[in-house]
Amino acid sequence: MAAQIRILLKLQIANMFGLNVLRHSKDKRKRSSAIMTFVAWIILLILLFFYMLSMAYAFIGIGMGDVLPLFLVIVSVMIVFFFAMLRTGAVIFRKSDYDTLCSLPVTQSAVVISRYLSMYLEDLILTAFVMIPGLGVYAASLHPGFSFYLFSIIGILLVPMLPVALASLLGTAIAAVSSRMKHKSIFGAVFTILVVIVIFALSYSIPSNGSESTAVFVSLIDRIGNTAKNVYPPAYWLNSALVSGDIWQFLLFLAVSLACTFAIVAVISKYFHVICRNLFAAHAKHDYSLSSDSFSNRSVLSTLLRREIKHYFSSGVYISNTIIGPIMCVIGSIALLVAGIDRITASIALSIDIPGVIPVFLSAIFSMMLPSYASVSLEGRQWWMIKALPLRTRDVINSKLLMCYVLYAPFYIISVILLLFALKPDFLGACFLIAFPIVAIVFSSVFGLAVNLRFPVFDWDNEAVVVKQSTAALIGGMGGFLIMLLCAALILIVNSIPGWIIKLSLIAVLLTLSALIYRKLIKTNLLEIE
Amino acid sequence: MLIIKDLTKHYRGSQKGVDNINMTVEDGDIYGFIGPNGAGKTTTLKCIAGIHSFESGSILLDGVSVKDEPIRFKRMIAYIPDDPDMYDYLTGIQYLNFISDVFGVSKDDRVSRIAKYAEEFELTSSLGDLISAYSHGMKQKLAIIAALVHSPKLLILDEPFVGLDPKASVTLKAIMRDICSQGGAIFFSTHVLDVAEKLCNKVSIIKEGRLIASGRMTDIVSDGSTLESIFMEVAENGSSD
Repeated sequence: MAAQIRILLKLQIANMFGLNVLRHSKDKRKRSSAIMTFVAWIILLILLFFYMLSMAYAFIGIGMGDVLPLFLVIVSVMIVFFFAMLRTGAVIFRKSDYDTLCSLPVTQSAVVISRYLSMYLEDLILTAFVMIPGLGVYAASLHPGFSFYLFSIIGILLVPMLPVALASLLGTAIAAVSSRMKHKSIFGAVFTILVVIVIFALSYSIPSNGSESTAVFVSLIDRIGNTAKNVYPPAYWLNSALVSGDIWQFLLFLAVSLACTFAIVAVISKYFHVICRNLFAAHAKHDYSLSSDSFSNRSVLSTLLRREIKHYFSSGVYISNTIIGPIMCVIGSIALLVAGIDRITASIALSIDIPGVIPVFLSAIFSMMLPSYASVSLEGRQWWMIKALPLRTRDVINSKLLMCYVLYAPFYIISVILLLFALKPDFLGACFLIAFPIVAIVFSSVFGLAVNLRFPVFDWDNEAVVVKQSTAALIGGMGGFLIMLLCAALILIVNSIPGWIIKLSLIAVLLTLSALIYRKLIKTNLLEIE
Repeated sequence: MLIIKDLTKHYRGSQKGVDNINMTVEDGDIYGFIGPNGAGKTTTLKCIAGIHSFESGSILLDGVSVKDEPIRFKRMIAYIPDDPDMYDYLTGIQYLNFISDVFGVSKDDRVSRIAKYAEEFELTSSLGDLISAYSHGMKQKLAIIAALVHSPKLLILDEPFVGLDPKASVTLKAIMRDICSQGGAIFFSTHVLDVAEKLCNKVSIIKEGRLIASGRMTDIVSDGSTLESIFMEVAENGSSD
């Protein structure tokens, strides 16, 4: 079986990060897109590296070096679990090569293990970029013994193992439940989102009084450490092994990581075919008869929009990745209404205009992963139809943008109404609260679509590649979010100009940029996009 | 009338493509397009269908250029690829309504045409199912019905008989003849040479991106030879002489 796993894994690694395209494609456009993906990932990892480096120095600076490894493990586990959770269904239960693999003389365990390992390898890279800078600072500052280095190397390899396995198990449970339902992708997405929200809620339930004093910060880290000990003991075991050189704690960590992973992979392997068969089964009734209700005339734009909506709700991984932002906005708005803005302002204890900047933070979350960043790539092998049909570029572009607005409108309306009650802004504040998220959504949608048209990927075999790992996902999906954070920073930092002038200027700039990008979009020659 | 003049198309970073293709498909023609794998058949068809842009040459249908007026051009044609990848997340009837909306087909016309062709291809009972549940042959039938729903002047088909059951093949051939008898034209690629020989009045043979034989079927296949023997000869030698 090891040989089978090696062969299958090799196949998946070849497709990882566009490596095979980079090595073998003669198409300059495809190569440049693959290079961009690669570069974007490297930049992201470098940023993560330096962020963790600075955090590690902060821990050492306040004398909390003995819990630094624990903190690093917790951060790694949360990142890995979050990302694995959102793509596990699409990776483990990938449909595209299922029939081919079934016809090959390979065991279903080999298929499951190779798919699990491909997720593990990607998450191992993330883990390494979280752990190595932190452990490096720890080693340079506290000069630990030989066991620290040995446990660190093995520990980094083991840390992502369990969260990926747990996420795979949860993803499998979600797939198993949704496979029994007619609208599998929608139910799958709803379950995934619920799990992610519960995890978020749990992570926020860790006690915090938000004060910035070092003493309280130290006590907060202490409490996080104790919580982690109860919620995720392996992190505590590895910390003890690294800090105190406790080999038994390390062996416990190693044994539990390996045993749980093997057990989980075995369970998934056992039910793999059953779940796949149910997931991929198409309900065909063969009892249709034509009637006057079968036919309906629509305008071109309306029929394209309808198609976009149906496409959106057909993909679980697309739904779960793009709807989390708006849901978080609504939940955040409810929390703000319930907690009260005065309590939030007091708890942050910084002399900044919290109510004034909340609309921008709301916009930032709305701008994260708007569906437009992947809507072109998700056309996949059906992209030929858009080219072959007598469609104006304007209609295709408008339908993709309208799809975002139709989807986000209810969340926007609910969030803004809740925030109007929660913040009780003055007239100008209310105008800004209503207008800025709209401008942000418009900007981020055109920006995301422009990036996707610049870096499209059509020959994918797994939607997660487009939704989570493509250049468009990194730049187009997160670009709007980062630009909104920049806007928030401008509002908070620039004090020499009245706030309303800055806010009005930001709206004007974003609208102008949106108009310019939109003009460019509708002049795109779709025949050139391949 | 479709006029292809000096069509040249190369793929980025590749030598593959087509060179200097010249062809005329007249109203009423059933025009066969044959050649070995990778010869440039699909590339040519995709250029005509407006899916691929091309470096030089022109493609005109009744004087309308696919380059200059792509929307007007595409309204007059229908294209069916060899492996019709359609929107899996739509049902058959939703897909047909989508195509009808894009082409602006009136409700009366779509009612009569969809009912007629769905009945002929025995697909009516499956129109309420998702396309993802269709077999290859059913997808092919749906693509054919979608192509016919706006009564195109020119039908471009890439390997149309692959995946069709014998009855559907016979139905398609009858529809092709019917379209041509009403002044339309068919341009299709195929590897099934005896079908091409019986069905087409004109044929072109392409090899390595260049046309090596072109003309009326009766002129190309004569003196007791068959299209198969002619094809084998040109595939080997590059010329029918």
